[in-house]
Amino acid sequence: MKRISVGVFKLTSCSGCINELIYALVKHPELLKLIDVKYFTELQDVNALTELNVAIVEGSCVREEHEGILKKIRGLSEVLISMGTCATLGGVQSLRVGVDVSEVKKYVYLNPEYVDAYNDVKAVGELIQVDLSLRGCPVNGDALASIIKKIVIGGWPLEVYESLCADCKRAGIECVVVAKGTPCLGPIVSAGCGALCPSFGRGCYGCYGVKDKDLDPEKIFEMEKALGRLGLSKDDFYSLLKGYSMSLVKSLKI
Amino acid sequence: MLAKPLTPLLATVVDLIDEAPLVRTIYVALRDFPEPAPGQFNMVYAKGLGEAPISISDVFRKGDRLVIAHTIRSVGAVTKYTTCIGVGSQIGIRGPYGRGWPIEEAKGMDLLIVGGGIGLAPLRPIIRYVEAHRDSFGKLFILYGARTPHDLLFKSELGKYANIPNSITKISIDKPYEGWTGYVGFVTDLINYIDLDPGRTAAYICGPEVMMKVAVRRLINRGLKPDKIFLSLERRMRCGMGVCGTCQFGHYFVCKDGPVFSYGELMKYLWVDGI
Amino acid sequence: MMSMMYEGSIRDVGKLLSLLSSLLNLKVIGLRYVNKSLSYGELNSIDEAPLNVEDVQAPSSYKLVEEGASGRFRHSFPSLKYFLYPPVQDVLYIGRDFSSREAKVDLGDVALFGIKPCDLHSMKVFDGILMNRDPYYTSARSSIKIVVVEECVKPSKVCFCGSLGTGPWASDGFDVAFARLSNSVVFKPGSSIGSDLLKRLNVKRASDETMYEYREAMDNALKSTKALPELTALNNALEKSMGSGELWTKVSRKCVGCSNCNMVCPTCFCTEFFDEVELDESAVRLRKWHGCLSYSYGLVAGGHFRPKLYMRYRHFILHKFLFYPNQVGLIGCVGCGRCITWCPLGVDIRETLWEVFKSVS
Ligand SMILES: Cc1cc2nc3c(=O)[nH]c(=O)nc-3n(C[C@H](O)[C@H](O)[C@H](O)COP(=O)(O)OP(=O)(O)OC[C@H]3O[C@@H](n4cnc5c(N)ncnc54)[C@H](O)[C@@H]3O)c2cc1C
Ligand code: SF4
Ligand code: SF4
Ligand code: SF4
Ligand code: SF4
Ligand code: FES
Repeated sequence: MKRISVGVFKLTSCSGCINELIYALVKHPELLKLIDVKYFTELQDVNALTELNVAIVEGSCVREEHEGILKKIRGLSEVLISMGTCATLGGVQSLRVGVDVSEVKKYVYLNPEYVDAYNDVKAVGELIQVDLSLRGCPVNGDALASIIKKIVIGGWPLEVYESLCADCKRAGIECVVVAKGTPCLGPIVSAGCGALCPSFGRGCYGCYGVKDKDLDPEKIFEMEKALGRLGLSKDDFYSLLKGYSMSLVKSLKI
Repeated sequence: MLAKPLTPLLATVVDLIDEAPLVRTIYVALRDFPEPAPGQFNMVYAKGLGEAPISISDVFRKGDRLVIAHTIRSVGAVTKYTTCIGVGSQIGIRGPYGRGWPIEEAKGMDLLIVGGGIGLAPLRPIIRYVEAHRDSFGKLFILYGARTPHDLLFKSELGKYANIPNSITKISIDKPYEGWTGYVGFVTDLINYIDLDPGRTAAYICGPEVMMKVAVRRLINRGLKPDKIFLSLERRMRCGMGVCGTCQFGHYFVCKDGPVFSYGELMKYLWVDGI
Repeated sequence: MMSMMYEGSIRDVGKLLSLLSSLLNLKVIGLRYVNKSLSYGELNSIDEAPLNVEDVQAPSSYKLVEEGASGRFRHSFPSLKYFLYPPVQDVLYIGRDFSSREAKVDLGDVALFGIKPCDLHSMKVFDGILMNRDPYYTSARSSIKIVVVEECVKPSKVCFCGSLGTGPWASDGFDVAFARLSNSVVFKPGSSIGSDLLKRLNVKRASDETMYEYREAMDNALKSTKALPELTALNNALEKSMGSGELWTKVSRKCVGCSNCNMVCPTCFCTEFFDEVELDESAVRLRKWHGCLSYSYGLVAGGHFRPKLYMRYRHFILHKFLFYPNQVGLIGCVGCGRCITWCPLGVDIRETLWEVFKSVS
């Protein structure tokens, strides 16, 4: 097995996925022998921006500078992975899209002039080609470790696209929509978390993002109607979609 | 039922041939493996990554071992792995699976072979078979097409097909290409350029599904009978032996009822989009 | 349903359960209702069986009501496949030297207790696909030595077994069947072991009145579960509808492809295989349920054989009604209604079938 060079980059995000990555490396220390970490400012002091076998990007793009960084990383890397819901779909910060960013800044920061951000929030895939998208807020560390292992041995992870409900049923969890009348976004959200919220009797709020392969606006509307009958307001429904699936909200025009 | 139907047999790579960009033929030698029939496939296992159904593109004996060739295009989780293995590497094989090409029944007839891209791989054993039993068959037509001259498989062998007695080989590429003097266009066009006797011809087709459908239409128009046109279908396959359900096409399990079907068997479903 | 029948009381049902373990030394498996939750597992006594609750089912709605002795339990989302063909299963262990070992399924000797006629029938469908083909299913299935069925005196709103001949009573493939009537329980042997077991209970030949009540109850149950068009006409309609993308888009408009229906359906057997790899180069090969409503079903490198949702929904319906009969000689739907109750979007397979039937006929 040859060592692969890896770089980890962070744009706008909470660093939760980076934490998961670090936990994964702590849990599977043998992985560190197989990867050569070239760039990872949260992990090491000496970093070099060089050619990479694998680039992992966390966070979404919120200013011009980010766009340049992304293009640069793409040019340097063989394989590029978007890590987490921010990088893959926009993330929670997308909630501000549609409102003038200079307004929003004032609510949050004492010195809003220090904050450099444009009005839009873009997922990595809106700017450069992404080879593998990993969803989750944060991502599942074990899944991340498994992917790195497969790339190290010369393969590629098997991609399965299904709804959270599939995980939920395989785990033997009683559906909260059907048995409790609790709104749950599971049917339109990607599997991956192992149905964490339903396993605690709660509805899924969509942190893995809406499925991107087989839904059109009419289907989203059907879901909105079904959850509306259980008392989830239209506003709340679309806020959840915006907060975790902004780039799909844009491309589906919902 | 086999005692361990899902256990791959350990196989050592004994030879590798780079056929085309991203396409390699991998030869493995196996002991105690059933002799595959033309058109059958194996499940090829890359440890830790998964399995993929791959047609058997050649078979021969070497001492007490059976050498089996798999011609693989690198496209995803498992097949990517084949680009980074060498002679001596180990992979897993289980099989052979499926119902292959009916050739015994075609004895005495003319044979038409139509291959598109990687689709020539499962057809090669028929050509081998006809070569070995040349007197049992009438004319042999081989029509083969690929996107570019580089994408043609078995390049060194293609030229030799012309030497098979009483045979015609025609090759096409999709778009004009520098230095290419042969036919440009779809492989299915070549059907118009051969002198078929529809009453005594059996056709064997493998390639992308759109190409196979066009070929079927043309051959039916030329007067071939539905039960003398054979297609090898591709579907997502996970088990190869009728238990995972993923390869269904209409009521067929492509892995065990096929992958080779006569057009007569498929007529009901072939034209239904996404069945 | 014409074999000799007996009558007894609910205590005999409990006694039957204990005979299975004490006399035959079997592990008794059934749905357990413990701490207000239901799951398949070992039944240690009749008190753990869900005999005093009722499942109130409707499209997209399920409530368990504790109603005392008049409760009539049918089923919940876990079907027998959770036990016989688990959601995630180890298949192979592969060592770093490529030595491999197949996972073993060893369930011991088992009696299934209190399953419903529809679920009994679903095993026949599974057998047709998997028996003697899949080693894990074959071994799990072979561990079942005795089957005790509870016939459905009071089907739920989503049950439609009567249209398919899979219920509300059991006709074959069981050892003992029982039905709880107003003041008694009737028992019916389905095999010689079943007859022997009944002889050990304190049951007597059913009286004419009891038989009358039983037949009337079954008759009513049958009527309430006839919910589909006549089957031959339905199949012709489905056959004709196959190529109409427009019609199937229309009937699947509410479906979002979540695959809950596949997961809860007792006859859906499709699986996906995957590997977990260790850095010492050993690996575990596993498989998990994978429903045909999911996008990856039909997805291949470089294309998709069922890219649109309506195609996958159509496959679900056609597989059950048109394709299974060719594959295993039985309709693949047993009319349990689970897919109706557990679809979060309220899709109802009965409505789909009627809609197709009406627009094609
Ligand atoms: C009967 C048969 C014979 C084939 N013969 C050949 C051959 O000779 N040479 C060749 O290059 N290719 C052949 N294919 C196609 C080949 O199987 C796929 O390209 C391969 O499975 C892709 O797997 P992957 O893991 O690399 O790709 P991924 O896209 O990562 O696949 C994920 C999983 O999906 C399944 N899958 C994906 N694509 C296909 C597909 N096209 N067909 C079936 N399953 C798929 C595989 O089981 C795979 O493990 C054949 C397919 C069939 C059905
Ligand atoms: S609880 Fe949510 S995720 Fe689970 S099946 Fe119901 S809708 Fe799907
Ligand atoms: S029919 Fe219902 S349960 Fe089935 S995939 Fe569609 S929405 Fe989900
Ligand atoms: S299709 Fe629905 S009603 Fe029929 S067996 Fe499956 S879950 Fe039950
Ligand atoms: S309905 Fe779908 S998931 Fe169920 S058995 Fe058929 S193909 Fe498989
Ligand atoms: S590949 Fe599994 S059933 Fe055909």
